[in-house]
Amino acid sequence: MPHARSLLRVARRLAADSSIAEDLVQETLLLAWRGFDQFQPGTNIRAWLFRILMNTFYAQGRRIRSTPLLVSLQSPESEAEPGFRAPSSLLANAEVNQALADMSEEHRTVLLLGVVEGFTCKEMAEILAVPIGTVMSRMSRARQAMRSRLAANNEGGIRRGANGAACAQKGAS
Amino acid sequence: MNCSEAIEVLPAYLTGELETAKAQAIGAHLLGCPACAREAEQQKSLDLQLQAAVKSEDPDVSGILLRVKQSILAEAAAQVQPGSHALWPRRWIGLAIGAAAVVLASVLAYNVLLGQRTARVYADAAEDHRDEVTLAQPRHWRTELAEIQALAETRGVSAEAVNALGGSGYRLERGRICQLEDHLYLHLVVTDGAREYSLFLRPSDGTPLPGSTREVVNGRAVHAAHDASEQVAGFESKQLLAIVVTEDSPEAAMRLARAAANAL
Repeated sequence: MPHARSLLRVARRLAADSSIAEDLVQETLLLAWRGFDQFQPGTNIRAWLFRILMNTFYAQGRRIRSTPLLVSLQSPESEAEPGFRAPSSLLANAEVNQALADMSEEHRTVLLLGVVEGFTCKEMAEILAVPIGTVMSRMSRARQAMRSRLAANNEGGIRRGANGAACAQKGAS
Repeated sequence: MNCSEAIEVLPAYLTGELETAKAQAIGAHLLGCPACAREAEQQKSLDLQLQAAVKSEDPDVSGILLRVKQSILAEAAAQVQPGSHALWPRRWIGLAIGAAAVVLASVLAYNVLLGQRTARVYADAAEDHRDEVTLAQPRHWRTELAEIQALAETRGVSAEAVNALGGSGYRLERGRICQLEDHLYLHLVVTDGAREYSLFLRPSDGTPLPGSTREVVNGRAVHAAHDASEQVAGFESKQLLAIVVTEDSPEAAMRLARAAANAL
């Protein structure tokens, strides 16, 4: 199942604990197996699986939702000479993961689906069962919130610039 | 197109999802507006960082896939048509009816408990016990003592406490993490040789447990919840809060609660 890892990566950032996230993915795959006759061949199976994941997550409600502080963050200043900042990608990843964990569930969800999993705004609208305009405005606000959090850590905002995909990877080279 | 309109549709513009006229309008706006152009660049940069951070994790899904396979095989076997030669479909039907009865009774009990509001933590514990122990839905359990102790310590339950349960007269079978109400708990399954029981543990935070006090054991007030299906009992020590669940009798729940209250 090539999509299981993607499902688990997202579930782990939505659910309260990694074993609860595993249950969520397990349930998603079982529901997909039971309802496979409802899948329309030729349509996007990843989007279909993520729709089941999100429906299952919402259906299970308050009991499985995450609280912040999934990732422990070490302050580089506390362990290095003043002014020095380790350019470690591990540290950068930890900061971004922490910022993601601290965000509202709504913002975290659109960033995970749109940016990380590469769904288009239209696909996200179907996965989350909300209008496409809502997806776009959530994306904009989520990105702003993420940038503010990272800027607070980085004392100057995002410093690495590069080209890449945005809301989704549709049409990207 | 003004700046706020441009920012609003930027995500769809960057993925090529906008209709031609709108895409041309935002393209023209970006050419003439350095602030929005910078915003677009920052969005792309942020996306790369996010992708790198989340995709740096390569989670192991082998356990999940194994459990899904087990469930699918069990369901496929259960779907064998009655009337075929084998005798065991009737057994499966019996099991299915039994399972359905347990679910129905428990759902009713859960609703009753929910109605009492204060006992939500007990309702959640009863639901977890029903799904994961009574109905044995496949889950990722730790079965080695050292693994269970390591898991316990991540939730603030000491390895000594897990060890102490060994002297309670019940044998520790397995453990995992679950969430009841708003807290994460260590969910242990213990057995007396005849039946499996759930024991949920977390560090005590002074929040009083719901339910009426049945008796005081080892200085700990043991509470119990009245429930038609799962029987629940709980107590709090200085360090730990413990909840016991069984589908057996109220006395069976109290027996384990007493043993745990003495051991912990």
